[in-house]
Amino acid sequence: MATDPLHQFRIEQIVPLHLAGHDISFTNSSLYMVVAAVLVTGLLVAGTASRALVPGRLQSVAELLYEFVSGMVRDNAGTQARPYFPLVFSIFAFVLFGNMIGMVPGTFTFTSHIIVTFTLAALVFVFVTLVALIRHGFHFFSFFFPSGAPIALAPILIPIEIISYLMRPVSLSIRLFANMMAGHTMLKVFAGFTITMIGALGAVGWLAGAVPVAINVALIGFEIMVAFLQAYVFTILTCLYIRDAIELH
Amino acid sequence: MLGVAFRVGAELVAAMVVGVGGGLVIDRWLGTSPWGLIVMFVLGSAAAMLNVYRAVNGMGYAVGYRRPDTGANSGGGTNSTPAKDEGEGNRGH
Repeated sequence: MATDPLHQFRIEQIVPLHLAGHDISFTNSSLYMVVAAVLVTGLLVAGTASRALVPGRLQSVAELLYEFVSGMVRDNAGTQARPYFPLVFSIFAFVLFGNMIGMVPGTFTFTSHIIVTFTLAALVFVFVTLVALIRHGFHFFSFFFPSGAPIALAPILIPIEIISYLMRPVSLSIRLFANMMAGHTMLKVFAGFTITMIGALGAVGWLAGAVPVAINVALIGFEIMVAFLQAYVFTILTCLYIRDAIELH
Repeated sequence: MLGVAFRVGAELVAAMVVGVGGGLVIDRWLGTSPWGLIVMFVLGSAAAMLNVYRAVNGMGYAVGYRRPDTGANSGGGTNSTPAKDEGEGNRGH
């Protein structure tokens, strides 16, 4: 019986591929990324196909998703951020579907790997920096010195502001990956208790083993909330970064 | 709320990663071991505190960024509770 709680995070090659000495194999992680992308695209294409005035079920879901992200961009990034809506929507949908697919037993959660979340966060970081540079030119660098602070403090303040700017992709990726990985490990650890108890205590174990199962039922509800919340937090922060890039100060 | 707690925790870890990681890179690059590590560790800690302060205070997440309406409501230096609550509410945490 496999009770290793970290086994679920193992990357397995499905189609081994190599390009110029780099391993670019199609793995279980890639497979679930494709699944998430296909599901998002499928939902939106199928949901908007009928274009009914009174939406059906699928169209309601598609509209709900669109309006939720649209409201988030409007409230947090401002009206000028309209052109960047497609990026924010793609990120939210991809992360949300990745997290939610991971809640299905037996699947692989690609957002539980820091390289995946860091790539997403680095994409946001580079994009936001480019937007700020293109919109404001060299004025962008005034970002690293809070207006109104005494000039004498510049040698301390500027490195601190630069570090806290560089921290953005790191904190963004660590938050998402750590929450997903911790939650899934916790579920597996509790499930493992049941198996250990049944193995060690026999008949009594079946009774005692029900306790971790009950805890897991509550935890799964909690994890579904975390899966949504983390996708939401990731997107909200993306919106706030875009707002900074547009408005500076 | 829980979202804020997760955010603050990740903020502290990320500052240490960037500060210490940056310090080690500077040391390796310039051969200034261990001064890069020490200086960057202290600066990283300061950045962590600054960002936690910004995240919790509802000042907008950004570097050096101050939301105009929050500044007007709280009347400059002091942060009254209503302004703080409003800031939290706006970002939906």
